Amino acid sequence: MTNVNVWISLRRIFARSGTAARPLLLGLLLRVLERCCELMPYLLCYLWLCTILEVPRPGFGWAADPGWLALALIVSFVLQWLLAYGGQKRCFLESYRIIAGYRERLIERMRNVPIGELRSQRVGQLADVVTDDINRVESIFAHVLADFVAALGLSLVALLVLASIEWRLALALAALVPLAALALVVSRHLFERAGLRKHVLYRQTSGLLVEFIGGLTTLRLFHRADAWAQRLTAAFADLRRMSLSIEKWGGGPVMLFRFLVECGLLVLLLAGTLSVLGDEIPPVSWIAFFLLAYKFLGPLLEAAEYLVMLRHACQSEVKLEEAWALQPLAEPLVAKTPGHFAVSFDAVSFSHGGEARLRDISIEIPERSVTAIVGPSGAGKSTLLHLLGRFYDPDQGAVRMGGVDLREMGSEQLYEKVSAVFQQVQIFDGTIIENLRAGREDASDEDVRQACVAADCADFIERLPEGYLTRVGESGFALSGGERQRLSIARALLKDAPVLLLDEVTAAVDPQSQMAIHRALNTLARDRTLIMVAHRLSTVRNADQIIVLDRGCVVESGKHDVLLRCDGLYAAMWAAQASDEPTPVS
Amino acid sequence: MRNFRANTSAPRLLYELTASHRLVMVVALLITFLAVLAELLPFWLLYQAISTLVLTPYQFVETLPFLAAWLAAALMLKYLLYGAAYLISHHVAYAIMATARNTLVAKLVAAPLPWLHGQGSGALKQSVIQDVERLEGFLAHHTIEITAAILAPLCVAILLFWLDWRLALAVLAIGPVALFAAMLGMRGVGNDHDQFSLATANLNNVVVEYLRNMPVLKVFCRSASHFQLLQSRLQAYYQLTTSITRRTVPVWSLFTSVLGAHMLLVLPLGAWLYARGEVSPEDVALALMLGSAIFKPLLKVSRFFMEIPPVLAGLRRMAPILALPVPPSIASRSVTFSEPPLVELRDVDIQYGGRSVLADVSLCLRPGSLNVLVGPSGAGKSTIAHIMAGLLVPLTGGVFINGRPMSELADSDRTRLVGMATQEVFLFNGTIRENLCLARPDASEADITKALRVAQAEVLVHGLPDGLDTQVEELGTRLSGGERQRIAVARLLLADTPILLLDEATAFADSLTQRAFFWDLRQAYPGKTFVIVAHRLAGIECADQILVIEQGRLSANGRHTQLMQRNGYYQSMMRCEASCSGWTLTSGRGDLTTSQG
Repeated sequence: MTNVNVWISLRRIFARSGTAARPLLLGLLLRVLERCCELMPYLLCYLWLCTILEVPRPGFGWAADPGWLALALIVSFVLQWLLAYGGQKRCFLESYRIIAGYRERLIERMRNVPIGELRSQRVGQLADVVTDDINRVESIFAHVLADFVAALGLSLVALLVLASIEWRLALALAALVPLAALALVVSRHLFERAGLRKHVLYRQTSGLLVEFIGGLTTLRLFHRADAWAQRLTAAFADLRRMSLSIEKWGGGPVMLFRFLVECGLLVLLLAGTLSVLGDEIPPVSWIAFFLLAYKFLGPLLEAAEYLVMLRHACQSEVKLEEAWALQPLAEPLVAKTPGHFAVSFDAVSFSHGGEARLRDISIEIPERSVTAIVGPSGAGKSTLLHLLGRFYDPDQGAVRMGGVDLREMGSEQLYEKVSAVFQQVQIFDGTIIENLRAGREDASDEDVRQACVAADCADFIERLPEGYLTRVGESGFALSGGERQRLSIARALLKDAPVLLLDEVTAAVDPQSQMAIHRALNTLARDRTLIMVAHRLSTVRNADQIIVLDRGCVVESGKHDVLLRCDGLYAAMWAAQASDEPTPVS
Repeated sequence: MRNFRANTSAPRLLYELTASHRLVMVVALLITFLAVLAELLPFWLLYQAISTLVLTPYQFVETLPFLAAWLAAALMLKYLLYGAAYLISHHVAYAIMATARNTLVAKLVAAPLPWLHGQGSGALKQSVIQDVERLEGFLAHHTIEITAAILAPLCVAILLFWLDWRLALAVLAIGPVALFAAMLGMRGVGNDHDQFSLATANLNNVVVEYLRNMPVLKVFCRSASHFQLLQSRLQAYYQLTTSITRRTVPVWSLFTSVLGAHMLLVLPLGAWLYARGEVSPEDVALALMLGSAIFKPLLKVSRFFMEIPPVLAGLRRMAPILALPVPPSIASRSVTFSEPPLVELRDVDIQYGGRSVLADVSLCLRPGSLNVLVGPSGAGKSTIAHIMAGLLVPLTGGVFINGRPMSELADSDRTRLVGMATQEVFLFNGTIRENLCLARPDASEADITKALRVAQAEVLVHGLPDGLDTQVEELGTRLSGGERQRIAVARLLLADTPILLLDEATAFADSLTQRAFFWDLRQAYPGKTFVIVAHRLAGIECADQILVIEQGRLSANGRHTQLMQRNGYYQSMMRCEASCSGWTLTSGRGDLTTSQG
């Protein structure tokens, strides 16, 4: 976790939101003025005491009259209410408007993040950040920032008023504030360290708990659940112990700040014992200080509390910066249209997470041909497919379709030409019909049904409680792996795009479903540029081209027979799999 | 362990959870009371100072050291007392939270598995981690703050009456007005809060869905329309915040202003009473200064009421977990089975959510036999395995071990008898070796090698950076589903129980060698009873018994040759499998073929 700095965080929020800060500043000013009205009764009391003690301030002789006092107080009260009304309204509305801009721009940015970055774990983290953390920033920004500024403003004005009465005493009263502030600054690091330690411990414990809950079945089967519960008990005990010490280190300095600030009163009294001051200062001035001291000290004490809350919000803001750090894909101003649908990789290299995934790949894939990508696990087969689907852009070289670099084609046009059937691209939350029509929006009901029949999913869909209108995905009905696969094949059939990317998924389905899927794939493969990652070599032995990958490099390519004769990696893989052919049924 | 009922109200639940710490909490609250008194001392000293200045100004400087000493003592006392109160309250809060978490985990350890499956790990984690964490704010901070916020005004009121009853009344007169404003302000707050929470939840759901579905939406050119949906939700959310703000600000601003409005009466009344010679100026000053201590705490109380609903909601989420029954424990009889026993399922019926999953299933597993369960997905194969492992309890009928009901066995005895590798593989953070030896930490190197070889995981494990000592968490997503399954199978084989259940655990073998796997299993682990749920038939000929499950019933059982003669489903399955294995995609130019292998 990087350093939390309230000021930097606030400025970043303003900059990111793309909205003007001025209206909020006016709101904050109104809030400061509102709180300054709190000084009025004490000032009036001071003026009243001045008249009583027969040292009236010039022009304030009326303060002796209860009637005038009441009138002045009523005016001040009404003024305070009006300022509170205007200030609160403006501060709330403007804060919400600023965070709205921030949210919208962040989400807009997420829209162009490479698909490859949106792996499920990452999505989980991102989702937490753009929901929980942004909510925390919003609520504290809306509720605490104005209170914080208003408290500081009141404190400052009170001190100025006192200084105008007797600057030397004001100096004494505020003498310890720099020291207290120093305590807070120093404590910032303590606070951060404490927060970080707690965060780490908390995450560890919750990780352990997630593991425990996820593995509870297995743990019980192996009679290890109790042992794990004991580990958790120990972790909870650790958390308890650490939390207490962290709270001491985190809360202690704030307590110290408050103590030091309040000790300003002590310094004030002690200053009076100095002979130079003691005899010189008139009693009414002292009275002013005693009346107003807590209007200077009190808001500072409040401000310390608000600051702690602001720092929490800033921790969330720092996390949000990580989301901002994701680089969006560059889209061309004018998209070039490919003339045909041959695909080529031209000296493509790509690394991800510090690991080279593909190295100097050059491939030509003719239009309307079947190309298989095979190789041991971890060879980079899926990554190759992902680059074609522009889940990422390559680090070096270019992926082209019809001679046009995918980056110049633009994502939108690319996805009009490309259909994909694989794990990452299956079902979104919505009804089945919405998912199918995503392939072709204007498809008639009959077209949709035909596609479903061809993909062997019409039967199971029609058996569902609400048929094609059943909601599916994480927020709806859970489909099995085979069902999802068939649904995405039906959608690809509807979409009828000239280029098809296929990841042979070996989901646990029974032989009957497997056969249906195969039938559908055959229909889908017709008249298209088809690029397929294959695990079972026998499924692609008739492909026009087989590309053999190993550790991110193309090691062989060609037709099945040619590759077998080469006696290389492909031949070895084929030999290993050939022994697995089931007994033919007579 | 205390037994809770599912319908226990949230405050009641909190009361129960705090049971053994209440006395300490009371001490913390007493200290808070003393701290409140200490907090009033500085005002009393200022009162004395003003009094001196008004009556005997020439003596003022002399009294200063005396006042300063008192003030120093008062401030120290105040901070020490508050420090102590907060320390105790935090101590208690953390203790209660640890207890709550331990109770929740203990309940989960014993929870019925079907219930557990229905919960979703996210919800459970939320309860044990976040919902318990929410208690901290309430127990550690609010208890002290609210006590202080209630006691301070009371003490001040008493002090004011002692000072002068008319001034006291003048201060307190604003009370009903403030109360009225507060009620006006609070009216509809609950409703607004609900609406706001709902809008927040809606927005969050749309954002999360949007992110999660982005890849599909983008590939199918649908991201724009969903982005619009998101924007409209965002707009709706901000319209709501705006309308709530516009509605609440007038009253809320009145409320915050009224809290300082006691001055309206006190000062003029004080001036008037002074003019009549009935109060001293310092009395008026003190009434003025203390007045703000009466109503400002109300602000904290009102904030408290806004922060409490999420705490209660968290408690309500915990209630069902805490209400889980604890099954009666059966004493272990340390039964050991040197020979695999005869296992029978007799007349098993089981239902999920009113739907019958298994009906009238009876079957028999001979000691040392290899049994394979086949059938369409959803037919109930896994359910049978779950029942045999004791994860599910059938409605009627049961599992019998050598003629005695398995339900009579203690957990520890049952797990020594039956081992199972589940469909979803759970590898915990630790080394591969630790994962493999979960059931038998003392397994020998030779045992591990044998298990890995049979599970076809030898090459896989040797290919890992540190072999057996590779940390699972460092591998991240590098282990594929099939690879994890192989490790799970090896772990099961190492458990060395007489009966071994493999639930879809051979899915990995579709690209490798299921036949070799079955063969190796027989060779390397003779004399064990195996039950394998499979969806591929390669190598099935060597099974001693094949059980065909269709729509929750056992439709046929026997050897391969027998079933090929008499079971229609089995025959068609065999045909499909043969056709699948021969399937090949050919050319995109329209002349594709489906050849039969």
